[in-house]
Amino acid sequence: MGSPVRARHLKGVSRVLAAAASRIVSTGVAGYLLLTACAPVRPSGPAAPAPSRAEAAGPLRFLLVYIIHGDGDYIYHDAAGRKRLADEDALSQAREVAEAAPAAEVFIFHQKPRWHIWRHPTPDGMFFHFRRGVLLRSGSYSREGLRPDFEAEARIFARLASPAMLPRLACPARTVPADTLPAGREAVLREPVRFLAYFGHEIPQAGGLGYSRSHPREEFTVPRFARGLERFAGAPCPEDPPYALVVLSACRGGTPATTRALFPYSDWLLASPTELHLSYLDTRAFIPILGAAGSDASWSREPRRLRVRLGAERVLRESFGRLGERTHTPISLALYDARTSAAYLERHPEVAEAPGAMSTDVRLPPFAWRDCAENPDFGVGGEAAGAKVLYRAGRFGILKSKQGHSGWECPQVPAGPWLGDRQPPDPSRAGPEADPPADQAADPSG
Amino acid sequence: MSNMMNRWIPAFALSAAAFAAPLEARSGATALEAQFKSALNGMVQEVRAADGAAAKREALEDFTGRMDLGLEKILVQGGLDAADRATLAALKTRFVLYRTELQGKEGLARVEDDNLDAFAAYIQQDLEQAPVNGGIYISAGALIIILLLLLILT
Repeated sequence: MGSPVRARHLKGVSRVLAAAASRIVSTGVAGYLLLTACAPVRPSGPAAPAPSRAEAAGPLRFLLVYIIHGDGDYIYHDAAGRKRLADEDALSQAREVAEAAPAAEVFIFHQKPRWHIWRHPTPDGMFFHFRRGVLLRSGSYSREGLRPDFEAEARIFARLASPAMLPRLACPARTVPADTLPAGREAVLREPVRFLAYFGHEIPQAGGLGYSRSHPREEFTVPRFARGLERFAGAPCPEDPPYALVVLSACRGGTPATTRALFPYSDWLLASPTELHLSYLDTRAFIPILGAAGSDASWSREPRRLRVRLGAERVLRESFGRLGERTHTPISLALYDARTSAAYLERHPEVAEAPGAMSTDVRLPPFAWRDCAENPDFGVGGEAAGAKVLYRAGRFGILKSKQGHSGWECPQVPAGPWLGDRQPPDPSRAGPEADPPADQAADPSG
Repeated sequence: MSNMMNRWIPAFALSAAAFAAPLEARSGATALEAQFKSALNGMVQEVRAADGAAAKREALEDFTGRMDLGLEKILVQGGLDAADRATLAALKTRFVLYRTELQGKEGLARVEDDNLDAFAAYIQQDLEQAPVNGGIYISAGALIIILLLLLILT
């Protein structure tokens, strides 16, 4: 090899080595930055100075808690074929609401996958704390070793929330209606109007092992979710639930078992009885409610219920419209008046429930869930049961002619391992177990 | 030949992954599910790009039929644990329903030519919103089986 060729060869080798060295260094730096960025940030120390906007007159009226589950598979594709992440979309939505709420304190918790870098686990959560529309703090946190009923999130909340927003420790004494005595009225007005929105996959009644992929030995169930609600607002009290509204943006949030478990915690519950597309519910429609601090009188008990209901109905309608534009699968959304709906369920105890604990790694197949109204013992549900239901059948599928929905979905098979060779109902066969033929779909009012 | 190589090389890689030193199950399953959804999206784009109703219908028939047949064979062979068996059986049931409607059998109206693109999107949404594992941890092995079916048979 002659000198010029040798020189070119060496130059080429040098370039390769330089590039490799550069990559090693940049990877190391990036790794360092990654490690430091991912290092848990203790939410301690002095609060960020509140800008003048945060000093706006008027009480801090609302508490919003967003819990966004991202520790699993949340990939979906939009109509243009672009890949999206449902949890990231929900996070953007939550931040938009937080920034537009001048009378609210907002906590957003994004539960994320945990990774390992050289066998060291990374934090698996991000939190954002807003007050009066201003981001005060954010950082990462770890759920490792803590209970799956939002124990990690509740610790952050307890440390950062305004004192007035902390969970109530006891049920308010209500010997007379709260709005009639000055002291009682004042107690109601002092209590914040609480909302909680959860975005994630269907929460099972039992089992639920590995709901969070990074914590495969943990169970996350509806009872644990309910326990988690208490961590931010306190235990339910007779005639006085701690939340004004709970939004459950997940598949099958509207089963009798799930709604029964959650009704004690909230005046209103917004959920989907059937499967829900990963583009989720849209809580931005609630912003006008949050922007109106209003007078004290306008937020006393009954006016508060009405205002929250109006806001929740707006979320219901706008989410329904948005889902209708982008999906071909069935859409069912329900806003439950917890008090009325709970009483309705109490009057229909014959409604089938999944008996016992389900096998932990088995889920009911889709055709094993049916509108509860197909059970004649349940009745028609809907408005008569305190549920405002918006329903659109799927554009395809065996139930594409279904006209309405009761607001509740019931399991149709007993618990236990699913029989893999069980066939879906033959739509051409008559009988109580078969789906009705496509041109004779059930038509419960709702 | 290169077309076959394009299919078989990733298929072999996946097969090796199934039997190699264990993946970190969490990250492995996440990546595999992403692949599954990407394959679904590929099917939707293929149907959209197909020229004419006949080609669209053929693409859908091919996809749903191969998944149905492939899953049937795997379920018959056995050797799966109960959880994976149930997951794959549930997936098979969905594909049976898709094919039934596509062909207009069992009392269902046949998907019309004008609706084939929408039907492909419906399949994608139906599977994406109720993911294979139902949101609960699933073995990487079952996902690999599904992806092998998609790669080799489609």
